[in-house]
Amino acid sequence: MKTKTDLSHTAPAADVDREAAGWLTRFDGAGCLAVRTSVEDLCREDAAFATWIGESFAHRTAFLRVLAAWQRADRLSAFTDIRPAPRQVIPGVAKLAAAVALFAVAGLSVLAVMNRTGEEMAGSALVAQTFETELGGQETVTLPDGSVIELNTDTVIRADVTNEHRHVELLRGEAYFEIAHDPSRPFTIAVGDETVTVLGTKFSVQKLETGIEVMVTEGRVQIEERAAEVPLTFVAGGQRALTSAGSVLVEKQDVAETQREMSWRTGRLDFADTPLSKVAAEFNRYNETKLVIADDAAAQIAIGGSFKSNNVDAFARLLRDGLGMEVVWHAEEIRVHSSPQ
Amino acid sequence: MSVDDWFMNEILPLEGALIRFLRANWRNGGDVEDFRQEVYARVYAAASRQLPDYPKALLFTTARNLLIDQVRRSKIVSIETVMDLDTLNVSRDEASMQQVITAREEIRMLEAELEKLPRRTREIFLLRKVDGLSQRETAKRLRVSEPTVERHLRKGILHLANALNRTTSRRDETAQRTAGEMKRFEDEN
Repeated sequence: MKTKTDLSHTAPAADVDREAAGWLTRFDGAGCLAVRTSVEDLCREDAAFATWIGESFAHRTAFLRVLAAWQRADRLSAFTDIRPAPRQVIPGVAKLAAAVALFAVAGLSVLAVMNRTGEEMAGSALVAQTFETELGGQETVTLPDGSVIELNTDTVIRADVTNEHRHVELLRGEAYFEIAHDPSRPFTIAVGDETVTVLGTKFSVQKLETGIEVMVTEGRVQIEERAAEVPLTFVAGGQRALTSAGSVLVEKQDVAETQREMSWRTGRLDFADTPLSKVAAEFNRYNETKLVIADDAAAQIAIGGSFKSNNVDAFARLLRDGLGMEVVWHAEEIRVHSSPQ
Repeated sequence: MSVDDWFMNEILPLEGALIRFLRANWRNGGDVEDFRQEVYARVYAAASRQLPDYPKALLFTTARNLLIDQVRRSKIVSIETVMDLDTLNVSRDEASMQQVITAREEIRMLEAELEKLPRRTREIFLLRKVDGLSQRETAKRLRVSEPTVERHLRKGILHLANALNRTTSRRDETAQRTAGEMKRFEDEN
């Protein structure tokens, strides 16, 4: 007992606090810390911890103290829970390009605050970083300015956020953006070599083979061809824009459709009267095992429903058992024929 | 409410005020954290017998008694200390002086505290707590070992515990309460 002040029989607070934090991070590493985890739960988990806790009230209160701080730190990310309406998917890949500048118009107040603190954090760990998801993966990242990006399957983005600018490059795949309001720092998203400027807070961008697709759930998006002298195109909430070789097509999209298109954000694929060929292409964006539709008649079959994007097996079984289609499992693909031959 | 919940909701938000009280009434600042630890242990022990009606009053009375014990137990009692002893009352201002901050300020404060951490520690803490990666995923992402991640998190949370528990946000009801309960407590006891 080293304290000069002879306090009961407890070790110095600095030591006990360190032990408490050690237990906390050990449990965190083991995935034992759920929201409502109690000290008793943890004692059942680990007998050594139970012993330590039982040794003195100082141990217990020290642990509660770091646990409280740990939980409060979650408020840092709490604003990422402000989840708007979901977003979409079109099969496709590579070659177009756009830069998207977003001037958040209707930013939530919390997000606006995050901006300011975000500035203080500029230059910190999250600046100029690459984020990527594997096939079937999904990830949510929070940028230092408070903006949140959800990456869909097989997606790569590079984020460069500083005091002066906010720039993201979508190198591959698809992402949903919630941009923190900050008129002084336009948020630009580059996709290939086409320039797209977006005004708004919530939207998705997907890189397609021949262009990009932008779907807006809230606010306004401005698309600009970087090379060609094409007038700016504005896309508002509830609209979808498709670019291809210098042209931009804007169409209205009803809410249900937008919801379906953005169902990937919850790990599902939703379809309504969608041709099986398109459904298969969707599944193939998420899975190593590819669905191959072997004949035209099968490709035309309309599919509706909600499916887990990573469970192509279950979907194939439904085709077989529910629709009487012939389904053959191979090593790397599942072949679907319209009827048994 | 369990004693643990009670302690986290009612007592921890008062840490800032408690630390200021201890500092103001004890000359050796190096002892303050040990006092804090002892006060918590005593308060918890009392609460596990019966949850008190006036947490704030219990906390500061315990702190005061502890300081008085310490003075009595010391072999060398300075004149200064003896004089202080007479004035060692929990001032109502002290208890209400606790820093009350809004949720926004809290987030800003959290970030400011994170800024004080070494770069690596901050990065790991952000990945784990803000991006929600597990320790394993964090380790994989940064190509470091899991024990390294755990060590940085331990460092980070210790720092934040000191910073966070010393402020209290507006959503913690305790902060809204006036020091009036102290008065009632003293009258009743």
